[in-house]
Amino acid sequence: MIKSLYRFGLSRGWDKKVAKWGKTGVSSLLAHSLTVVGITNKLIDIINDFSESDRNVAIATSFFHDMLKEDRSSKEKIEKSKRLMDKLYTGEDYQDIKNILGEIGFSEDEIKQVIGILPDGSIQGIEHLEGLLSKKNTKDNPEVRRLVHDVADVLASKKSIDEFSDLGVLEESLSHYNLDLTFHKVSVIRGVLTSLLHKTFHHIYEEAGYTPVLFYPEGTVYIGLKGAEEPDFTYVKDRYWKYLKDYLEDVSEIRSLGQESIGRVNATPIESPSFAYLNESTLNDFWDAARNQNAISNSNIKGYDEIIDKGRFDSKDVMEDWIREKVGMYYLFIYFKSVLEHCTNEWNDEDAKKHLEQILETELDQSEINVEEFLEDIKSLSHTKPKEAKIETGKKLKRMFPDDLGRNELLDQASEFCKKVTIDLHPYAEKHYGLMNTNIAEQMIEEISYPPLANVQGIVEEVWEEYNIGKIKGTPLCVLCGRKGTSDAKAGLLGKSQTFTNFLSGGSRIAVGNKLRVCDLCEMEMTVRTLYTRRADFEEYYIVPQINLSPDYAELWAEVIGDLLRAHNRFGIDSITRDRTWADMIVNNEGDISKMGQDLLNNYTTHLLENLWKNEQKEFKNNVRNAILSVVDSDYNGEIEQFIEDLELGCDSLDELVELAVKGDEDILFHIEHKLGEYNKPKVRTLFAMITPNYALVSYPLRKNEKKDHKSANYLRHLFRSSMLSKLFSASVIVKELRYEPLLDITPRGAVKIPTNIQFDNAFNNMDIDLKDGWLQHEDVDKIIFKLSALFCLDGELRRISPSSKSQKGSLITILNEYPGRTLNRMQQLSSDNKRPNMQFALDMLNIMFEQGGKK
Amino acid sequence: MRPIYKIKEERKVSPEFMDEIKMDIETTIDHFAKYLEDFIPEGASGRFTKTSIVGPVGKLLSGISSSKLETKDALVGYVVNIHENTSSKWLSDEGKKSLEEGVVCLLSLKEKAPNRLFTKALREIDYGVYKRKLEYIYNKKKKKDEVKEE
Repeated sequence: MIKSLYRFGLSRGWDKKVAKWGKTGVSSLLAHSLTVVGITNKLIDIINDFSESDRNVAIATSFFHDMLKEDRSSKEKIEKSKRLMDKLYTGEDYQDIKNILGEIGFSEDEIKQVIGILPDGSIQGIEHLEGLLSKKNTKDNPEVRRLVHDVADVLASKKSIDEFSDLGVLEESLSHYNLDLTFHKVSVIRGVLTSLLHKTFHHIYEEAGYTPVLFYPEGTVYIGLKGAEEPDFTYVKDRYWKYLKDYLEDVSEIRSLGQESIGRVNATPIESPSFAYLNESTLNDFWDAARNQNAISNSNIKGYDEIIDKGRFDSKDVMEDWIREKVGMYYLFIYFKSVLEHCTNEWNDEDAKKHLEQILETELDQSEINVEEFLEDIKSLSHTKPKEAKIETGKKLKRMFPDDLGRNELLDQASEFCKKVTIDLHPYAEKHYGLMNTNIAEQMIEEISYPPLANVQGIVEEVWEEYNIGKIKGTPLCVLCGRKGTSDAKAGLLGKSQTFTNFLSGGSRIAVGNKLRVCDLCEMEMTVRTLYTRRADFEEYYIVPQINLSPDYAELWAEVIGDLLRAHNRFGIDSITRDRTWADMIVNNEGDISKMGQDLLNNYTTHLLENLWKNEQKEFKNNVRNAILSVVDSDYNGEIEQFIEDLELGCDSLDELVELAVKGDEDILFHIEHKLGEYNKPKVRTLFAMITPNYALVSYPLRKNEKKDHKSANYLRHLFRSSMLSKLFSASVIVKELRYEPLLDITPRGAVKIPTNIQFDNAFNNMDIDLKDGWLQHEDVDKIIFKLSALFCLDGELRRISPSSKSQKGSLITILNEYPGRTLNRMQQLSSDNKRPNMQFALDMLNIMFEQGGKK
Repeated sequence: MRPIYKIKEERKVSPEFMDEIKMDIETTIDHFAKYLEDFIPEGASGRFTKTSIVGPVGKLLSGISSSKLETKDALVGYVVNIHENTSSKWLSDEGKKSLEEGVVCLLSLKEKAPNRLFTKALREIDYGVYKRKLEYIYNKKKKKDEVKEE
């Protein structure tokens, strides 16, 4: 039902109308209506005293309760019209409501109740009088009216979570239904880490009998029946650990955390111990990665010439191989030593040492080496030892294994030995060096501003003291969030190393002793995110609710995320960065984005697949073919005929199947999707994190050509991408200028918030759309998507006729800044006999971009 | 001490004045675009160079910017002469009227606008006329194609 209502709202352009406005937040009519629907639905679950028919009436009433605001398109209009209601429902409006509810399956009695409960406005014309008369034959439902208007709508109209500290009249309405309200709030929004904190609190409150009914980026509102238990915060830290660990384990399915934690053997062999010991599988991955290190599998033996010349073998090749074997063994055991040091806390943990000795006694049982001697040898390993010593120790270590093994088999067995010994010991390492050893959880809990769990005064004093001590080395406080700075930011994470930055005293270059410092939390957030995207330089968008979000509305969000992830993981399509494909589709549909509505994403996928097919992209076709063959191999013992028969699609051959699949046939895709992901890898890895419905985070690395482009041109790209996301989610999108910087301005005052500069402003103004304090207004989203689509298409045409042109850098800005005639003339000048420009197309695109004048 | 140099615009440009100038530019473009409907370059090869598209208007604009000619009659005469020598289509009465009106607008713009602004306006008119003529050509082509299809 909610989806049908959502489509109805979209078809009437509710996403472009304003329902709530003000300095503290703006919400579209669609978003507000869906939020009230979700709250009502949840309240009915909690109260458990309404019939199913009442539920239907309540949901429909919630959705249509503000329909009178439909003819408001902007704040200005609202301010001009002093009346609360701009119009009254017309007979036509009522008919539309009746039609949609009839389609959903409402009974006549239910429809009468919905119409009866909707508020009246002032009569302004004959059509309103007709509307009022058509209301005659309706029914009231006071309980539903009270629930929707006095509770759900009032809750959804609170623009910030702080407003819940004083409930006012809401308290009386809640008491009527024997309901109790509480909330949690955080002070800083950091991305993944804060999402996990929200998740922790959701579970704690749910266990106490409360239900989350309203999500804000900074917290959640819960409602439970009066007399519910007090939430138990005793284990909040342990819970947080569990969720952080679960999250990392999820990531480890995509990225090998063991591999990520490995360092260089001659520097820090285990760079990120917090991830290496997460579980057995990460440690196994660590050893596999160690085995494959060049230093071990194919050691560099430059400088070993003297030893080779003195060698006992005549053949140089044999001698080299012999040395590589010993050096490889030596370096492998340096990793082993590092792991043992972590497990035994630098040989100080007696329990761990005892356990290690027991394991070694079993493992070395058959060997001629005894445990004590072995441990002494291991402790003495160092990459700075002389070459001869390395070979001697390598020889000694080799004696633990059978003589007849080749180099690779020996190293394999040695790595298996290391795995076996350390796997049982990893809980000790986790205790001393793992995630649990850091105080991330405690520090995260300090960021809870309600309920009061942390010693706020202590934190303030600590920051004040640190600031007073001053800049002994780099910045005293974290440059990102202002907490106590604990470590130097890794080069590359906050810009290039040795770069100039305004964060340092008076503005200076990062240098030895003059570093940007960050706190533990910011550092952890950086690590957690780069684990997924792998690259440190990425762009990030926060998708935040338009003021607030209800659980049912959150399900629509989850669906969109699911679709984006499906395209990303299964088809290798990074939907976010494919501006040109989106632009083509939008221009082909003449910019009528609203018509596509919720099917925007489906339309896009179909369009993309058609495009791939049309352009005969061999790679994609081959991937589909391979995926089909792989499924046939594993599930049908290689019998392709059987697979074709089972599908019942009337195909005769594999080629026909491939053609159908590439065209997006869901029946085939359903069978091969899981394999398709193995062949289609996205070129850039995008992180879509929506752990709780409070907000979603999108991080993706910029493409190479975008990185080299002007900042202002990239702002245009971000504006387009974030407008599309705002449209897909019916949410507000905040584009961050400084990556990793926690989100502090969380008041959604439009559809998209974009950082700007003078160059961008000058170019953007030519399209005759205004940004208010950097916010793109809801009513302008469709317009800007259409105009930017035309810009991208025109830019594409320019690139087509002159791919090697030097003017590609900043070309988006150039097109906007120069006279349209100049662009056309440039196209003529750049064209050649075999690449003639499509001038009609270019003219059309320019007319879309500058259709409403505004050009200079 | 070196004296402080002050740079001052001789005429103040208010937003209302800018709107007026913009309107004049639009009107001038309209007139010249209308006139150019009569201009078809002789021996057009199908390649749309800017010179072949804006034809005599381009010459007119450079003439006026260099103050080579300054009166309405002289400018119109200059354009008509070029038109007769380079166009395969005769200049109609309607076309001539549009040309005269365009020249009048342009002269009044020169009178009104400060030099810097006038130079900018000429550039805008130049590309504006070019775009409009291209649009005219493609619309005509589209109509022809539609007729052929029918």
